[in-house]
Amino acid sequence: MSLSKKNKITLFMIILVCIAGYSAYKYTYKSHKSITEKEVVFSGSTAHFLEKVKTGGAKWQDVVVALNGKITSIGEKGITLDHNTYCQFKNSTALTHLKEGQHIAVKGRMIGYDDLLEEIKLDQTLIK
Amino acid sequence: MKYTFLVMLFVSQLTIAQKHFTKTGITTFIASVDTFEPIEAKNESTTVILNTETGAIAALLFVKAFHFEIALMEEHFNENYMDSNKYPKATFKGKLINFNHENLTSETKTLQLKGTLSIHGKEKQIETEAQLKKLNHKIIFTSHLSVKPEEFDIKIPGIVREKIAKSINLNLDYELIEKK
Repeated sequence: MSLSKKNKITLFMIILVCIAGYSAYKYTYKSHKSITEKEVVFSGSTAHFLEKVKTGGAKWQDVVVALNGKITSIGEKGITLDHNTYCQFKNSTALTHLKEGQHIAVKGRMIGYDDLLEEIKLDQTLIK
Repeated sequence: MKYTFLVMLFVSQLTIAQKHFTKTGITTFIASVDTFEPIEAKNESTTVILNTETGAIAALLFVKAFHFEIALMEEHFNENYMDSNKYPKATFKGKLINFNHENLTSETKTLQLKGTLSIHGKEKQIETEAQLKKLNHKIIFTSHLSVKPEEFDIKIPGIVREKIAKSINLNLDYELIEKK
């Protein structure tokens, strides 16, 4: 089967529109980057991180950090480490295995320094 | 002497236990118009502190913690409209008028809420209603705000003007527990 020149052009145009449409769709509806895909920009103790945040300001926002510390309280949706870092969990079933006083290492997204409660706030926390 | 100590202990207990708070309050942002993709986001990390003696209330949220279904929308929200790098926080400081902790029951009460809302580095006086009730030692606070982007110097380009609601709705949903 051979196509006429006109048909070839039409076919080419249809394919082009499909590709353009598909890439536009991919761009518009791209998925959220999960915490495991993002680069860890700080790793260390909560006290050290707090010091960095207090001097560094806005650069510590929406970045993934790995922290370690002692659990000082456990809430419904998250835990507090060393009285200075609140870690919110996406999935609260992970909390059931934790105990106050336990030392743990977590990875989470830094959302900011909460000056009402004077603590660091992480969300999407995972236990390492 | 023993009694004075007990009385002092009792008084100090009273003054310490005067705050209710949450770190995981839910603030919802709705700017959808009927004809376009829903524009909605949820912030599940809102900090709220209520002084149960005075009715004073303070809230703080991080703009980047708003989660949109569509990642690209979230990107535009942060970069083009809210300038989240420059203005990372949105805050509210205000008062619940005629608040009395002892009058709170499991039945919903409506109170006037007055205060200052600060978004995108701009402040605005707000007056709205809030619903409060008490359930299992928690104070359940819900309220609704309606704001306009231009009130906070947020510019919306002409090309998308029709796709974003003129008035943006904020729903507040906070479960406050006693601060110990």
